[in-house]
Amino acid sequence: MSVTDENLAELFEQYKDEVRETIETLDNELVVLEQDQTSSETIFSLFRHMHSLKGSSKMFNVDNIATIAHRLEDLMSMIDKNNSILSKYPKIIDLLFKGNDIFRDIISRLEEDISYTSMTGDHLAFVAEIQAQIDKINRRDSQLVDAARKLLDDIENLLPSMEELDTEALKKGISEVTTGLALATLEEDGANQIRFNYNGADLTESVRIMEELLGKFKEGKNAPEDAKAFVDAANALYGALAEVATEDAMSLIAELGDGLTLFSERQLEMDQMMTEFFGALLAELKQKFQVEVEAPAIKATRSAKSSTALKEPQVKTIRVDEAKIDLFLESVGRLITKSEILNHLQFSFRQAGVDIGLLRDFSTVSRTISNDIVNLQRSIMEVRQVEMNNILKKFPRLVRDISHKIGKEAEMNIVGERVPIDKSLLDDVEQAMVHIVRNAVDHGLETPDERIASGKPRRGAVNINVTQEEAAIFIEVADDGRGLDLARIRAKAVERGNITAEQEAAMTDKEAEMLVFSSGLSTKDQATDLSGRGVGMDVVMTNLKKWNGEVVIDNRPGHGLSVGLRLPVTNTLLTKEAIMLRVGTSTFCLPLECVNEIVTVPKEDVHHHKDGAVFRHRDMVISVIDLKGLLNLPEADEARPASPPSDAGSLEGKGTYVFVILRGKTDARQSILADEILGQQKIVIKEFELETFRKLPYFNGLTLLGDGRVVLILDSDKLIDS
Amino acid sequence: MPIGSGQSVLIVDDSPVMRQMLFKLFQSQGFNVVGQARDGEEALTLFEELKPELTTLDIVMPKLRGTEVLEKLMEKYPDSKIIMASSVSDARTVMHCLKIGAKQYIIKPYDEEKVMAAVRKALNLS
Repeated sequence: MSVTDENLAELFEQYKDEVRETIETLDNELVVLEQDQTSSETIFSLFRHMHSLKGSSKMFNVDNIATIAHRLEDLMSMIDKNNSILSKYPKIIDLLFKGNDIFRDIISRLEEDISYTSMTGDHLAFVAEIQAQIDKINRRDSQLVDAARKLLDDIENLLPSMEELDTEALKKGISEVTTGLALATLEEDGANQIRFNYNGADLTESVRIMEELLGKFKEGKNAPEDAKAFVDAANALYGALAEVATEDAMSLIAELGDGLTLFSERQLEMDQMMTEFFGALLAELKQKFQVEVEAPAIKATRSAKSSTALKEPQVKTIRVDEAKIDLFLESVGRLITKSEILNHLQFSFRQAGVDIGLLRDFSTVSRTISNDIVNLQRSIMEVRQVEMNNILKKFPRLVRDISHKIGKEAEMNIVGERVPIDKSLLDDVEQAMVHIVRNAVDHGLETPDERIASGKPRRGAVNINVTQEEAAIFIEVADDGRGLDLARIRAKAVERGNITAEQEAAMTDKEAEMLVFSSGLSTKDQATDLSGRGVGMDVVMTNLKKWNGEVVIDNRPGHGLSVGLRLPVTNTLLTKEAIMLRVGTSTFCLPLECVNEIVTVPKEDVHHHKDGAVFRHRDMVISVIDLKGLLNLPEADEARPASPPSDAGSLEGKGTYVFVILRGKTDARQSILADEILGQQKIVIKEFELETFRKLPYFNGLTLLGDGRVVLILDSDKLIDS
Repeated sequence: MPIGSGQSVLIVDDSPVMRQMLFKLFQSQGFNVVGQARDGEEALTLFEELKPELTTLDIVMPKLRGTEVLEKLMEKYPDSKIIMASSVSDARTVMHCLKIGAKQYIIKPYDEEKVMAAVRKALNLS
């Protein structure tokens, strides 16, 4: 039975939201639990969440979540009663993470298919896994009791002989039993704490699978599909090794590769011979690996601010379809354009000699409407705002997973979860942050050994700090790793052809730091599947530019790297102040933020040479971008031979040029020659909807003027790059 | 139903018992064991003389090791069908032999079914 009842449907939406919330909370609590495995507060909270998850899921007949949550609740209840269980079975935390991933998967599938509520094979397998864990705890506990009892018995048996002071026998007996006890408790968990690395590649998983299956093969207990699983794991191992192979293990790795090829080509069986072959080879290979015994751990310290925030009462909310808000916002955008028409009319009225009193009334009304519209826009933008926590809550888990995977240890601190951000920015900011955080863990942080060698704490730190500035949000991701190796970045950029050797030589360190944002540039010599493919940082840059974002890098070689993103506060996102300018017969608009200065320069002060024109302004040489040439525009005079002499805005006639000095992401000192500055006004930017327009080289959108004309918006960065 | 149809077989092994076991096994499965060699040198001489369709080759032998015999045979008769006969402890050497041209391996002590499975694969018999 599934939820079909009309009335239930709305409640069902609420249920799904609640589950999503719970999933995020569980993720964070699990990260905390992993750090402090005996935290009874966290354990109880996890128990409670599983319990309520079970309850609500049962109510909505979401059988799969209900069943899994029920079993996990049982598990948590055992742990709640005996909180030393977790330290004996650290694997439980992985199990709980896995359960959370399954919940997440179910909820997202429910979105598409409301009937995805029954247990699938995977779910059943997972429940069996939980049950096996529960059984193991019960059995292990009884085993321990048995062992302890045996120890007591043995001592008791030995007591009579104490008279003969057979201390050696006593010692031997006790040591045998205690070793047995230690092995019984370490057997599983000890293996779990060993990790194998080779030149940075984490081989733990493949090695574990291979060893487990080799054990089965040796005992002849293998199932038919085990051979394939073994070959898959061996192939994975070979693949990983081949990528990072160095001289010392080259021949062994080749032997493994040859063995795998022969195994499939000659249709060999996983018999004693092959078991011996792969077993002996793996044993020898393992001697080449670096073995690490403690499992990497990460800690999520929530800021004091956020933990109190969590206890604050919930604000009453209503649910609104995002598309409806966007539609509303678009209407507001159109209203802004309309109010510009009112402004425009005002001037026409004045020119037409309308009564001054009437004109004043009209002007007041027009201004009020304009203000109201701006307020309307601001409040609707606020509706779209969400807390940074929406993005940030994912990071402790991300850092945990990445560091686990590559054998590093990282601690994550987050501050500023409550800072609001526009919902439309969310995806791009999240994507950017994922890239930056990944890079911080993967490239920035050193391995625990390297860190200790350089006198740093074993565990690296990745800190996210979000602050609200006056007109921007500043998101900083700082690590205490190795920082950027600028010499290497420079060399790589030249090698990859991103810049020429001459450009490189002329580059300041600050400029070189920005090279990490060029496409295809990665200085990690061995690509990993996390980062290091050289895509990513350039994507970060492109996406943020869309929102007028700015990237600030603070590189402290050897001590860490901090990457800051500054994003303008978004209630002015859609509208911008811009100047309107005429070039030839065309009108363009240029957002004010792209304008550094507008200057009038006597014609004789402009120097022409073969690459273009330059002029001097405040001791700077400013070059002139030939917009007419770039856009192939006709000269105003040719196109409009009867150009009105009343063209008073243009100073051309008086022997001067008007230049707009551009402001771009770099201090470019470039300008464009305007035939006329038509004025300044508020524009509503519309992005190009057609792909063809998006490819236009020097524009980033268009706007509708008050009088109904469509005008292209110039993009200063693109012009400067030209 | 015998697997073989009179194909000629050369058995190379320094142990008479092992040779005898293989001899019986091949005969019972319809093969024609044309010769038996006790060491590597004898193996090469007999191979030249008999040009067997199938050879089982022991690895640890006096005079010339199986590996060296295989190398020489592969150089001169790269198409010859050779099955390495060895114990599990030589697994890595066996795999090396497969790499340089041996078709299959059989494991001592012999299990009839497994030996014949290897022979089938080596000779491409259905």
